[in-house]
Amino acid sequence: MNKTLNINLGGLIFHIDEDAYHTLERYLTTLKRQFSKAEGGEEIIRDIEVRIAELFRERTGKVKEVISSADVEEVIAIMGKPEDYLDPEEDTGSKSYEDTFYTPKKRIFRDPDDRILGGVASGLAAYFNIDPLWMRLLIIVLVFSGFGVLFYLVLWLVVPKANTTAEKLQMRGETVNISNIEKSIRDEMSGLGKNVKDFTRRASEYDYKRPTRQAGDFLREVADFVIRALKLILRFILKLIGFFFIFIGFIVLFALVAALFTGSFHLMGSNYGFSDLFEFISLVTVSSAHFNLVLIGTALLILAPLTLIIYLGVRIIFKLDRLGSPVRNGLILAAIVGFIMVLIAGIRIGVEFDDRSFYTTEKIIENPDDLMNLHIQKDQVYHLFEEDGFAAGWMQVENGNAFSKVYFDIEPSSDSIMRLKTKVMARGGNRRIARNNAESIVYEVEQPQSNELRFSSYYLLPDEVPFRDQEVFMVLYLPVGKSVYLGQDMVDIIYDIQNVGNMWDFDMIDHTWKMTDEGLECMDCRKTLEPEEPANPTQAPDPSHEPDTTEIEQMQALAAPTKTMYQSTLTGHRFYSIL
Amino acid sequence: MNIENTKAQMRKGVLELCILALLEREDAYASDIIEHLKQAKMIVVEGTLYPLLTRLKNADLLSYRWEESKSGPPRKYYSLTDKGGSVLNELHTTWNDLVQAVEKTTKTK
Repeated sequence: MNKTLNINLGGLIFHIDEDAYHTLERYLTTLKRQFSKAEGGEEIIRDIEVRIAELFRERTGKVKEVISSADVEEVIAIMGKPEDYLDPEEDTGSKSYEDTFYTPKKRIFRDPDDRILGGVASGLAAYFNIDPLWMRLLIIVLVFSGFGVLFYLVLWLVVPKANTTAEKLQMRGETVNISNIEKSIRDEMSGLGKNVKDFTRRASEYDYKRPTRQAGDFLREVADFVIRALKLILRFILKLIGFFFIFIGFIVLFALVAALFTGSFHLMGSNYGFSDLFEFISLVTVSSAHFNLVLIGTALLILAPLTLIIYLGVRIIFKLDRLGSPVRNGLILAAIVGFIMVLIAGIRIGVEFDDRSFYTTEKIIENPDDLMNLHIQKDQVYHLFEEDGFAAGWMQVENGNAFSKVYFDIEPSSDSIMRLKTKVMARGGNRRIARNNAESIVYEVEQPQSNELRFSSYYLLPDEVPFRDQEVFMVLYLPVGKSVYLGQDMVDIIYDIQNVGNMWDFDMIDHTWKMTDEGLECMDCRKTLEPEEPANPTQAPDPSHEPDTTEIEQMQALAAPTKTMYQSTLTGHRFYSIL
Repeated sequence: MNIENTKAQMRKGVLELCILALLEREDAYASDIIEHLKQAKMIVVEGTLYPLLTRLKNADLLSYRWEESKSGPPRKYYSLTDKGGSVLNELHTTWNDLVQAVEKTTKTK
């Protein structure tokens, strides 16, 4: 026989054996003690009691009414011993649940476990707490907008891979958005404010409450405070610098990309788009491999340092680890490799332009008349060049490239036959190639009627023919007694024509010139000649004359320095300056 | 070394994830949750659960309402809060990562 007690457990009444009651009481007391410190301890105990009551109810019924020791033991076995209730997280003390979930500061990593290429998208997605799919879509959109490949590669290089579990956890930390950035900055600022408050509080304590305290302590406090304040300010400035770096880096990147598609550059005195630049590079390079060498080398040379700058900014802001030395070395190596590539490509181009050769053709011009009219073929390309003010030396045309490097001169003929000598100069790896390069251009002079010559203002470099600084020099050998009329349009190609009046090329157009024993003489420009001094007889053109630099020097030494200066800037070898 | 204890610790680690996942499916009484977890052999003793539930509730991951029971006093009926839902997602990702990591490290070569 056993004495029974009535207990109220979880709002239910039970009959319980006395010894069973003691066991249960000991159990619950231990639990109460255990949970007394925990947050919501009472509630936990109440829930446990309810559960125990439930379990007791399952064990009692119409037949069995009293809870025995065995029942209590059974229930305790189900519920677990008091030590089983211990929650490992509660042991750590003050840390709240919130902390355990949100403390890891978020850092940006590439996710190696969920990647298609470098895990950039999934890493970013983890960072911004969105589905990687959206990030991937965004990157694809960016790729089509022409920006994405670069964007992706830079991030791939710059963002470290999450290698350790800790890093993978850090990869998904606090969500970062504008308000959080604002918050963190405000936190830093309020940290500063708190420091100030702490300091003033302590300062007042020192002043009034503890006057006996040593001054050294106070000074140390002041120093501490100043150092802490400086650190905060420094960190803030660093962040600003980080933003600045990223800003600069991306602006430059953006500018480059934008320029690539819309911008222009200066070449041969005129503006060209960047697609023209590629075209031009392909014209001066030897092969597609050489072309790629130039492009890749330049890209490396520009992108590697840029990547470092952007990385530096990202690192300052997102507190990334120091760039791993393999990556950093890789970037430096990339820049060096780019430099070497550009250097090699440059040397290769230089070699291509190393030697020089030419070929000449001479054609007898039949003209029964005394006067020969000289004009330019005014085709479409001419008009296009004209639009650019003829400063442009190069233009892409339908089946090749047009270059306006055509020069025309008039000299006296040694006999009574009019001849047109065409000399095409070109550069190349050796003389034979140079001569080949000279021969591969297309240049035509038309004679629509016997007393008219029409020169082309440009020569055509057919597709697949490299540009090797080809130039067309023409000399019209004019017999004494014959005349030419220089059409106004000829101004674009005439080059340093010697004449009795010693006039500039620019003034020679739209006039008729007669070859005399002294040289070319103007037949219809007396008005401009009259105020001038009589021509220097030594200026009579030399029959074997060809325009060259020594000639120009001689002339500068003689009478008309202004004239030659002007000519050399107007039609001189303007192209060399860019190469 | 107490192997049983290690096993228990392992189960304990993912208990929160399981509770949240259960409650995501449907609201439940404590005893329902216990029933599920017991069936899945996630818990050995029931006591473990109560501090856990309270802690989750205090962290606003769970909420409960009182509901009348056919027999006996009203019981707590737990449900997942919005915050609990997002924590669940986080834990899910962590769990998947963990599984991958464990698989990777324990895979026989």
